[in-house]
Amino acid sequence: MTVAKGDDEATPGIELGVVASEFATVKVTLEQGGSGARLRVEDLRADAVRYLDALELESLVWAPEDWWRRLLDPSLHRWRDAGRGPEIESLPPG
Amino acid sequence: MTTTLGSSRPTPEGLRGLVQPDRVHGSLYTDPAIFAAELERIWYSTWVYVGHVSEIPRPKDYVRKTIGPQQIVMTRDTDGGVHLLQNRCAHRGNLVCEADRGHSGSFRCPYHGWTFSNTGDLLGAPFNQGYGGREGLKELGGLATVPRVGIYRGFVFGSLAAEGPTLEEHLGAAAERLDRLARLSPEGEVELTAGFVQHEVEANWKMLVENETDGYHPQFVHSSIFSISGSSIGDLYSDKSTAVTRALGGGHSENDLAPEFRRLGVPMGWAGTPESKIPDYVAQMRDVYGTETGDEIMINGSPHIMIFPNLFVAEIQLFSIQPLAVNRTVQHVTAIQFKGAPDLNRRLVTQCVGSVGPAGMLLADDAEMYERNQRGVEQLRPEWLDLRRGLGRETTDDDGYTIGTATDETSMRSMWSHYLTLMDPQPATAPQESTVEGAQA
Ligand code: FES
Ligand SMILES: [Fe+2]
Repeated sequence: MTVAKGDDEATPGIELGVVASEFATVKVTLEQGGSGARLRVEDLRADAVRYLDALELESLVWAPEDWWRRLLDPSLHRWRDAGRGPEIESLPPG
Repeated sequence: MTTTLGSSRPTPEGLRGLVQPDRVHGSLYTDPAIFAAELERIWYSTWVYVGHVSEIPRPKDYVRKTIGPQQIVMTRDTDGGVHLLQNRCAHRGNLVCEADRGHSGSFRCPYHGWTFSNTGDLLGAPFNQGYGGREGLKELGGLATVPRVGIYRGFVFGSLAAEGPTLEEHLGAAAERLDRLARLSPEGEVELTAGFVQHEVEANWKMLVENETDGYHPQFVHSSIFSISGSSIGDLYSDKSTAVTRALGGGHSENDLAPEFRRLGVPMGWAGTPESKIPDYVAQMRDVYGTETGDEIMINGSPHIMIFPNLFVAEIQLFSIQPLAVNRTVQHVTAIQFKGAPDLNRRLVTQCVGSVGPAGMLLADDAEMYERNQRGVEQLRPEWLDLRRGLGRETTDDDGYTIGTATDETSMRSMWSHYLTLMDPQPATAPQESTVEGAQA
């Protein structure tokens, strides 16, 4: 999985809509092309995109609550002091 | 926290001098020191109405609410539980949620990105090596939660004091009025989904509390809306009326108009809505409760009750009172909606737009009186507000509650006697100490 900046090659898609709150604004598009379907998720506030395939989406459905809590830690990814500590860290389970 | 009374703080003896059985002193509405003491001993101590569960129907829904000047976020967790959080970042105190409502299971502070779950836990902070990594984060706090949350019939109350009477004890007889309200829904549930209008007035909050069950003023203040709408409600507030003003204890009071509605004997007569306009609703009520009970519920109608200190149910509309300063108060108003009653709900919204909407005629009349009253009591003399109306003709009803006629000031007198017990938590005979018990949290 990679985070792509901006639009890559145009793939025909069905724009499903924008999921927004006061904290985030994300556009979701269902794309059909190549050899299958994927979900295009774009952070409209930061101009960043991630593509999710069916198995990744299914894994999201089954991911435990604790995993989601860790995912929401800003230090886990976007705002991480990469050079100053363990590569991945977050609040411990629970 | 223990607060020591400063020289400018109202002392218990001082307050007892200002609140007398048949009159109250004007400074109770104008003195900032008294207002500060009220926040501490009433608003931050007792149960205060915050919101309704129907405002956050799905997990991860949230809505901003208040307890007096305190900003609260009411949230629904993944398991359906309701939480009341203080809207103040644990880092440097920024307001975390800004939108009036939204759908988010976590909240990210816009200042430096600290991120909290909707139950208040700190999920993380950006660049956490500055705190010694994830281990260091454990030392940091989350969002403060309101120490006690209680729900009755979907009405969510919060108490900023960790200890005190239970919500059931606080509500007392008022609980039965909320039951009566909910029974007007064929599904037994009230919904507050019509949206809120905020009315701000330059007046002390107690002006509003007292006015809500003051049956003496409607014939004067509201004569224009009564005549334009052809409403006969005004006639219920007269010396001929069989309606009563009832002190329910705990500072709660009601104008019980049911005796008049029963005399009328028409289902939904209390709402001024003929059966023919809401046939689906009437049929469903009879279907669900049986014809006899259904008709009885629809004849008795909706309560008109002031639940101290801030929840006012006025038949078809609900008000939440929010004091901001000694002379500044906001009323959050919405049309009451009943689950499973779409045809009735549409009418209720229309009626509320006319009464309490931005151009509504009922609340605007009251608001004018609140502000004139506030300006009046700021004048030096005659110092006191009279409270003796009907004092000599009060009686006790079958349930042991004090009642007066529809226009008597029974409700105000009982509000003030409860006020005194909260503001002066020590019995008059007990030795005075220099701390305020009600402030300990
Ligand atoms: S004040 Fe909220 S993150 Fe700094
Ligand atoms: Fe700056």
